[in-house]
Amino acid sequence: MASAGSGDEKAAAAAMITLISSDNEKFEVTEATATLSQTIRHMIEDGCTDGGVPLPNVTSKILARVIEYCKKHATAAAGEEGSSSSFSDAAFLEVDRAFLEELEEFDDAFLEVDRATLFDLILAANYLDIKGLLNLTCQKVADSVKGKTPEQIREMYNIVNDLTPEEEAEIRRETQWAFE
Amino acid sequence: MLELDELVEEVLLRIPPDDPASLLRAALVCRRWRRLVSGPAFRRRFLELRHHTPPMLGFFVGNNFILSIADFVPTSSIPRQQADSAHGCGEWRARARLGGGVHALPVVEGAFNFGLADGVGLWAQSRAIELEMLLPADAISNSIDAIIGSANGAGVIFLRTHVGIFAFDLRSSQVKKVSEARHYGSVLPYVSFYYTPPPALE
Repeated sequence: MASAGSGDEKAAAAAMITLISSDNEKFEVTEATATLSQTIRHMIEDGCTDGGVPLPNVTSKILARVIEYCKKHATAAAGEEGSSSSFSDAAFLEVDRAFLEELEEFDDAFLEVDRATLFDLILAANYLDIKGLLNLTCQKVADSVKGKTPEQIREMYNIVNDLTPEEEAEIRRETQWAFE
Repeated sequence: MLELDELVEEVLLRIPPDDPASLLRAALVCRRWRRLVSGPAFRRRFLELRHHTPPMLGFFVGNNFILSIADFVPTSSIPRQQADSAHGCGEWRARARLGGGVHALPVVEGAFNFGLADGVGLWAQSRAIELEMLLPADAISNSIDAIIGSANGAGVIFLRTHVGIFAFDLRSSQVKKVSEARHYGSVLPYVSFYYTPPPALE
């Protein structure tokens, strides 16, 4: 990577990668979009992306959403690189701020999905190693747990309570102040 | 790529710190969750994610005159947002601004500005907080008595006013009225639950 000249980088930015979902649907994306995934980045570095990248753990429905996220955030990353070369001009800062707000709005809207989709996105973000997406989706689930009783959490996420009544009583006794 | 346990841990690590009791309720969901949140590795990462600022779990308040009496007020018992109906102060968000100069004590200049060390206890780094935007009018119309306590490391200070005690979170710049009491002399915050063992012990 360090040895790549600026000419090579430009060529790389325009290069297209084909991603193949578990249900055999093909998605053409730019390398800049695809390399938000560390998993794919490593595959590209190893030169094994000719003929497409099969992703047997990701369905086309989820892959389409993941690509949507990567496209938006790849643009953001490119924007950051661009602005760092210019001085901290007020106009540039204003543009940056507007773009960040837009990105936040995008993320909020992106998370407006049902619980099953949200979990699939977490699994895909984990498998593809996309740090930003993993953070975003895990935070969404964490926020949903806040203020809920253990019973409500179990119901929300279909979790079977395998604690014995004695164990449960012990935790409650130790941390009584939290449940007052 | 993370295993399922690690993914659940990623989620639990992100439980918002302003309601520490959420983490304890999570421990009651099932064995896996209890095991995850009670492990030393989890606690260490929980602190790391918050720049080693543990959430304040609650505080003890003591009376100046009767030292033997101390009440414990858990953070979870403090209402999220207390609207002051008399003055219409629905949201008390600080207009914190970076200021030069270091003032350790309140300075009264029409508006109530004072400088503070930042959350990590670096006194060289000071900032001024406009309390008039922060506290309800009746709290600042007379006097702010004193800073009566601070949670070292948790970035919280306590202000005693003649309408009660307010806790000010230096990181989020949010203020909560935590007690109606006016006579307390000192506040001792409780954060020690999040003990971080040295890595060598694991």
